[in-house]
Amino acid sequence: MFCFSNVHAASTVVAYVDGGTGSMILQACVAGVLTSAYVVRTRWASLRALLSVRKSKNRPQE
Amino acid sequence: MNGAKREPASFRDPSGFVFWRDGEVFRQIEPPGLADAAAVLESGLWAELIEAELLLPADRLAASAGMTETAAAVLAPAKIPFVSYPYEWCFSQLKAAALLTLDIQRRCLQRGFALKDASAYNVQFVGTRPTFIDHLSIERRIGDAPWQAYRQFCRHFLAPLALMAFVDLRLGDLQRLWIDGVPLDLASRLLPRSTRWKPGLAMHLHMHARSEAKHHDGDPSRAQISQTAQLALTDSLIRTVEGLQPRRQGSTWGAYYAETNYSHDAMQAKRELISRFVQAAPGQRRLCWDLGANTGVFAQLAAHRYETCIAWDMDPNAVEEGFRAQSGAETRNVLPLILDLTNPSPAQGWAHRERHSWLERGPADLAMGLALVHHLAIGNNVPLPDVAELFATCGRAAIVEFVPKSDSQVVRMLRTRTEPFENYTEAQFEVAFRNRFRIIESAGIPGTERTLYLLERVDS
Repeated sequence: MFCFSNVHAASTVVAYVDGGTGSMILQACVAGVLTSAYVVRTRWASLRALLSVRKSKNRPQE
Repeated sequence: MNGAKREPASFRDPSGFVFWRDGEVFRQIEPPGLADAAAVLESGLWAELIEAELLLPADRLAASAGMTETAAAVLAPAKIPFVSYPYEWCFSQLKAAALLTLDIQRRCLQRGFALKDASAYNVQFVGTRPTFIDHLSIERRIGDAPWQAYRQFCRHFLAPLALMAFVDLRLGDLQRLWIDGVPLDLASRLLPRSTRWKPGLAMHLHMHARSEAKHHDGDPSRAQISQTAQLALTDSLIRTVEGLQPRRQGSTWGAYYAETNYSHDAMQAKRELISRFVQAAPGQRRLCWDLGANTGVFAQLAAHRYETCIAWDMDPNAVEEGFRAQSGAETRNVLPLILDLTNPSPAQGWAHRERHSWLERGPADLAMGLALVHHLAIGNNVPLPDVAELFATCGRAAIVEFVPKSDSQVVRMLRTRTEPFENYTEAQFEVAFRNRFRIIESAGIPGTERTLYLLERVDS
């Protein structure tokens, strides 16, 4: 049995991999630039998926 | 110690470690890793990843099954048939491992978790399928912290893939030199300038390398990244990796079967003879190594009889072609891997115990060497007794092909050599192999001057 009793959710995590200061800073900059395009793309994909579901629902049953 | 032995490669992560007991592998969760493990389990993420065949299945055991008294919990993961390393993978294998890692990171982010490391060594191949093996790599994402493993991912995956795609496939060997991934400044310097105009490589590699140099003593505490931004970053990495293709280049062995001196009938006869010898080979049926396997055509013949077949070859082009062919094959238990027999993967890493040498990962139940011995004995001047010794070290049984000096392939090799290679005869071959093996059967391959031997190691 895998016992997880008395486990308290810690508020911090201990990273053992050195993320590197330059990597952290670049990551924040790059992610900021990428986010708008990502949001547009995912919203567009969701909209297309929604429209294709509605289209298939409206198609007359044979 | 209750008969258990800690895996020497498992020491970096304070959340837990891997140990062996009675030939079985276990992962002990230490108190610092318990809260994350519990959260991952309760979220259903482990179950989702195992269901999607992304993460290695594991049984959960009580803490009392641990190796030490500090155990908070224990996992018993399924056993990997054969452990391989990134420097033994071809381009498509490294790419598949990279996309697996990013897929897991994406799924983690969607549930409020993240990968705390993105080491290529966290991926192993079961046949041709990559699988993530480190259950403790997943941690809860606290606040808007950046992805701690971003740099590691770029060093372990993106840099070698880009170098193999835009410079030379053989640069995958750099992973053997730098066990924690190829330095980004080196990769940036080696890549052609044209790659600076490719948005993914420009951001994640070239600008990344410059940022590392510029901000090495800066303060990273102000770098905050929302969950959506993390997903955008992961999506960009996925697109960048997906866009990379292996560089096409000339190869000694890539067209080997097209240029072979076998007639169609002789090749068919050789296949039938190998199949018969494989069926008659003594010993267990777990692991088969085909040495100098090219694309793994003959390893495929052993795949029906052995649980796992490793098709070793020194040519990354041949391994690349083999991996693609095996991925679509009926039996997917053939794993093509890169290995130079004259300079095989060494033991390396901390105290030489972190990554095992090629021979430490053997022996196989069957070692095959088809059209190989002349390359070792003539091409690399290895005396025949040493060739026999190598086969005895890596296989309990062996199928070995002897190619005489009169064979057109050997004649071609000897054209540029002045040495007579007087000891390279079939009689000397048999003397050398009889020192370590019993010859069960030998048979000439119809339509050729070659002889195939089925051998059983004589253990003194």
